[in-house]
This record gives sequence, structure tokens and C-alpha cells, in this order.
Amino acid sequence: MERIFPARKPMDPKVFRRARPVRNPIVVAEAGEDGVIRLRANVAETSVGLKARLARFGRPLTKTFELEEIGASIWAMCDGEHTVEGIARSLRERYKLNRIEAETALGSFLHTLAQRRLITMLVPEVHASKRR
Amino acid sequence: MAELARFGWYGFVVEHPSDWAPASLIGSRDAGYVRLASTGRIALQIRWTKAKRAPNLSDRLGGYFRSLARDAKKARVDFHKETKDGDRGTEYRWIGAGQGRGTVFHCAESARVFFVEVAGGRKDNLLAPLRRALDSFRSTPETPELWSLFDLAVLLPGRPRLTKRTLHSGKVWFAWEDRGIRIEAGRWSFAEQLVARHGLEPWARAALGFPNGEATVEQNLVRLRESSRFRPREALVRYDVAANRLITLSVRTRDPQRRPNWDWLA
Repeated sequence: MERIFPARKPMDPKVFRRARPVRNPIVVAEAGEDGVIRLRANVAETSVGLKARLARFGRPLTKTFELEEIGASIWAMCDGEHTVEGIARSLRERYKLNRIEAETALGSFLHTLAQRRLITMLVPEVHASKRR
Repeated sequence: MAELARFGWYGFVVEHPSDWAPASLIGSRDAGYVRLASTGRIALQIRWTKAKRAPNLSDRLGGYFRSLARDAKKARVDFHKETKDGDRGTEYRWIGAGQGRGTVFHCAESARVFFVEVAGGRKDNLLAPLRRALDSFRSTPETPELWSLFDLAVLLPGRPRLTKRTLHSGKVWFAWEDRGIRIEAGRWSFAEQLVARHGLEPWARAALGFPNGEATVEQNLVRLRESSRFRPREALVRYDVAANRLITLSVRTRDPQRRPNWDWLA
């Protein structure tokens, strides 16, 4: 049977390095102690139906995530200006990591943020046009 | 010129640009394969097999070329190969789905045949990285033996066998065994943050599993000792401030001659 939606392919590492992570505008960041930041996302803003369901079951309308110092420094660079490669370079310089280590840790962290819809990735135009 | 790093594995050592990293580590002392990848397509590949006597290198190369030719056929590209005798062994070059240049030679001291090859795309210049690799390549049966990768370098006595490894970002850890000795070595990143949060000695005790035991602390060095009638254990921890790393070495042995000292952390 033919698939209606084609299987999602993993992003080419070269394209991923040039992608620019950008924060979800509905997420509010609050500074805590020791460089920690707390991210508050109003999940109800994403859907009226979800808001009603959460209210019905007495669930909180916001989700909170806590990022420690290193995560917070990455979060600060998710501004749509810095590329993944640039953020990795900055991590390497600041924490004296080797290349593979910085790229792997950053990739995994950004993947987690994206899964939780706290960020999205702006991919380079070349890649976007190829996918169309 | 790019900064160089040493890679030491099962008795051989080779230098590579510091931004290259091990991408594949397979095998044992008798036979294995290692691939050190650059940020681009170029990679240094080292294969070795046991050979007490000098084998016919052309035969060894023939088998290798046949597998490359099969790959080229699958990729529907032509396959070309060249070989010539060099100072060290037989030099070769192949062009197929990609390109490779290397040398195959027999090392009598370690009784192994090595293929040292730089592979890349069809248009990459491979000669300079191959020369650098061959010039720096050493394989000797000397002890202590250097094990060096991912910013962890240790000099270990005897001919230890690697039994376990953990390659995580932020933590690299290996365990070796030899007759009557078990050695573990690790490299931890984010040292400044770990030490600021936990303190050096409490961190070392927790990370290496020394809840009790005697501790000697000197500035950025910690020595932990746990007396046991059967297998006493001793550990060394070095906080490298400049590199923001913690290097740990833990040894379990009854042999007093093989107690670890700071020279083991190369």
C-alpha cells in the first residue's frame, strides 16, 4: 500500500549544521539562580480544544522546563541568527569540548527542545527548495 | 598548520589533526580496524591483522582490492588501482566510488600487517594527510603502552585487553584487563562546572565509587585508596583546569609493582 505521507527522512548533517534554531514565541523564559532558567510554555495557546480538555481534567495550562547553565547558554543563542555550527563552535570555545563532543551534545539537546516544541529549526533555503 | 593530536590504540600510535575524531573502533590486538574522520570526506583508516612472518603483501592487497571493486560495481563506477614498492612496504592507490591512498607493510616488532590509508572523494588531495600519518605512525611492542583518544591519554603497563568502553559526549571511559589487574580510565568534560557544584574530592569519590577509603588531596590532584585483602583498589584524579577536564584512573590489583602513579596519565 502506498503511503499517503512519505516517511520523514533525517536531516542531512551538513544542512543541520547550517540550520538556525529559533525559540517558540509563546515560551517565556525566567532567570533563576546560578545561571538556571525556567521556560514556561502556555500549552493552551496552541489549541482551544486542548485548553478546554486541560481545564476539564484540572490539569495546569502551562508546562515548565528548567535549563541548567549550559542549556541556558544554548537557549540564549537560539535566536534565528546563530547557526548550529556557530553554537557548537561557541560551546567548544567556552567549555573546551572537542568537535564531535560539542556537535553530538548540541544535536541531542536541540532535538529534545524541538520535540517539546520549544524551538523550531530554520533550514537553509537550498534545502527547502530541494524538498518542495 | 592544523594542531595535531595523538591516537594510540593496541600498541600503535599515529598523529592526526586535532579536529579529526575516531568514528569507528573495531577489533582486538590481533586484528582490527580504526577510522579517524575529518570534518569533511577525508578519513584515515588503519587495518591490522596478525602475521608472525612477513606475508605476501600483494596477496593481502588483492583481497582488499576485490572488495573495493565489488563496491564500485554496485555504485556503477569504474574501478582503477595502482601499486608500487615503497620504502616502508607496498604503496597503493585506488579510485572507485571514492578514492584511497595508502601503504601496506609488515611490522616485525609487533608481528602485524598494517594497512594505513587515507580515503576521500575522487577529487580530494590525499597525499599530504597520508604522508603525515605514515611519518608519525609507530607500532612497537614496548611497554608502557600509550592509549590516546578523545582527549584521554594513558600509559598502561603490559598488554591490556580492552573490555568495556563508554563514549558519551561529556564522558569517555574505558576498562582494560590483564593478568591480575583491572584498569579503568575516564575523561570528563565540564570540569569547572562539576567541581564548582560538588567539590573535587566528593566528586571523585562519587564518580569512582570510593565512598570510604583514604584520600590524599594536593591542589588539583586526588589519590584515593581502598584497602582490601583480596583486590585493593587505588585511583588517581587530575583536574586539568586549562582544558576544563577531569581525568580519572582506577586500578584494582594485588601486585604492588603495578600500583598506579601520575606518570600513567600521559
